[in-house]
Amino acid sequence: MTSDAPDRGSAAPPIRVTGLRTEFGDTLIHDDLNLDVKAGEILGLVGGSGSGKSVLLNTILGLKTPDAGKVELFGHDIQEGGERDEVERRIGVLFQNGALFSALTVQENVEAPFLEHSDLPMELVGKLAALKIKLAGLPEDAGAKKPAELSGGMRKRAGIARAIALDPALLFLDEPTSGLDPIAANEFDELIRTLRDALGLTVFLITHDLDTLHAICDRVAVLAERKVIAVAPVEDLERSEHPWVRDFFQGPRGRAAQRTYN
Amino acid sequence: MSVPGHNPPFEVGVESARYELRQSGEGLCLAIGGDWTAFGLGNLPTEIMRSLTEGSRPKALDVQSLGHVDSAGALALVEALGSTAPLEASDRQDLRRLADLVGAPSEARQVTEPAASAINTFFARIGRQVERFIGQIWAVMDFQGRLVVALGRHLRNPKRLRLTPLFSVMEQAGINAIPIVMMMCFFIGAIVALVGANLLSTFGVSAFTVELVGVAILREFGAVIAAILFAGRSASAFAAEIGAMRMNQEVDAMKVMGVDEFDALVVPRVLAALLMVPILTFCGDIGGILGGLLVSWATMDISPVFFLERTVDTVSLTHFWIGLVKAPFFALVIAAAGCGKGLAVSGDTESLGKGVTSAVVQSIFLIIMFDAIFAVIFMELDL
Ligand SMILES: Nc1ncnc2c1ncn2[C@@H]1O[C@H](COP(=O)(O)OP(=O)(O)O)[C@@H](O)[C@H]1O
Ligand SMILES: [Mg+2]
Repeated sequence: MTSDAPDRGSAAPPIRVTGLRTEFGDTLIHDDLNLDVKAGEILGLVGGSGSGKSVLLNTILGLKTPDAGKVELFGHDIQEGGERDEVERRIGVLFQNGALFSALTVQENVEAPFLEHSDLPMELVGKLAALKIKLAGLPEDAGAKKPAELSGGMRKRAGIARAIALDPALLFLDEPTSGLDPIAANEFDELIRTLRDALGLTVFLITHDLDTLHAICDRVAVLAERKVIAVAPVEDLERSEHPWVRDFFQGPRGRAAQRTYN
Repeated sequence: MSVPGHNPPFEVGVESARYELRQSGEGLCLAIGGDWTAFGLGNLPTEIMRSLTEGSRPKALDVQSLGHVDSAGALALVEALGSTAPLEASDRQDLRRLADLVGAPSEARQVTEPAASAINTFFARIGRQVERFIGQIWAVMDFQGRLVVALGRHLRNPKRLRLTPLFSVMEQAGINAIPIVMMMCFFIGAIVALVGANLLSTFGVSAFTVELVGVAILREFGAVIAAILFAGRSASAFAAEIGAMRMNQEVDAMKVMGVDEFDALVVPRVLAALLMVPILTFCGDIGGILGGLLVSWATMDISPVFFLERTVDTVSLTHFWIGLVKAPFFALVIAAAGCGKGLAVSGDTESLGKGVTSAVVQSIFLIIMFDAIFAVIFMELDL
């Protein structure tokens, strides 16, 4: 017999964006953008540079107020103050440059969410942080280092360790493999999948990395013309007729990645 | 394509974790309930560990009333049980997976350094302080040397000078500071006049208030107040601007482009300070005299015309020049402290904060010290 945790949560999707419009002054970034992310999936978001991927992430995280439309996380409107705290501790974010607290060591960075949100005894917090640092694939002695003493790849791993500290239900990653060497990037893909399987995460991933899209993404959303123009598994998008999508997946790099994975 | 197994759902509320130790057939059994998550656990792990005496580890686990569980809860369980076996034998799928994730109980990871003897730490501390002090002196001399070289380069080839940053610093640090400097000196002048009038009238020589105000403002306060305000406004700004650029690797980017950071960042700021602090001193002088004038008029009926006439007649111009001569020295000290501390910032935010603080503290300290030295020199020169 296999039982599971009692279902006290709603069946609403982890992320639901409806009719989103975002503008900076006169420039319209998103117009009537809709996106649903399913529980337990790894969703990749692709789009040209400057198409508004990071802005979309900031809007979903509530760092930017939408000019129209609605963003719901687990069925809760993030603009309504009441449940912000509840939502906040169910999500983890890895920003594009890591955004680690530079004055703290890696260990202290990972401990920070626990100190903010829980009353666990310090000893257990220390062990948990060490566990998450190990899970993120960092060597044991990395915990005592300051972010400035780490390489770019290690900083991203430290960022992930902090993002998964509280076992979030939803993990956001902004270009996690950009700037990593191919081996590190592969390891990182592997890490994301392992974490998803181990912690039952839903992952929202912004990336340009065709290998990442092929290797770990269940579905890929394409951001172009201020909208999400398609959400589908990579194989389906490769057959798309849309010019931008075709250029993206059928260019020389796209073909190379396709050959590797088919 | 969703993963099998659990997805931590959005939690509506958190039920506090609880536990109970039961004696059953096979031995001690740990029954747990509520949410064993980072949010529901609280201080429970410490309580369990305290109630378990060594050797009496529970062998079995009862998860009948367990709500949610996450890696924090699983780790606490593994630590209490001393092994992952009971979790792996459980019929809860999420517990089994978490047991896998958490792994066997950890050895104490915190490595504590052996306590050094008191006498040892005492000498170690002194040694570190001395080393730091020498390092600081070295850094200051290094900075001064490079600054002199950079200024020399500019003297030989004035075209090197970057005019845009020079004018922008002159405006922000200098022109924009004029109102506050004048206002500050106005109040100081008024205070000197009030105190002086009170004191001097007891000797029946209240007219000397005019001289008191003139000498105090022109010789000392004009220059010192202007310099202190400049230090507070701009030594901090210099340190913060240059420090943030260091953190952002902008200074490194400049270096590899072949741009000397002293030419681009330090020299314009130093020159702007050298030009603006004397001007601010002059403005401060005017503000201070005005303050004294107004108070004398209001409290002693000394008319403004008489005040100004008497100032011109009795206060020698030497006092004005002495005040103005000090200004460039103050400027140099302030700009050097600000830029030097900014360039010394390392990668983290803490060193940025420390740099900004010590730039202000150091420059104000040096202003007062230089002022005292000047006072002695001018006294010896009978000025
Ligand atoms: N704070 C801002 N003010 C004005 N425009 C912005 C701001 N942030 C982003 N933009 C604009 O929004 C567009 C999308 O940016 P971004 O989401 O960062 O792109 P990307 O998809 O490469 O992550 C860009 O054209 C950018 O110039
Ligand atoms: Mg971006």
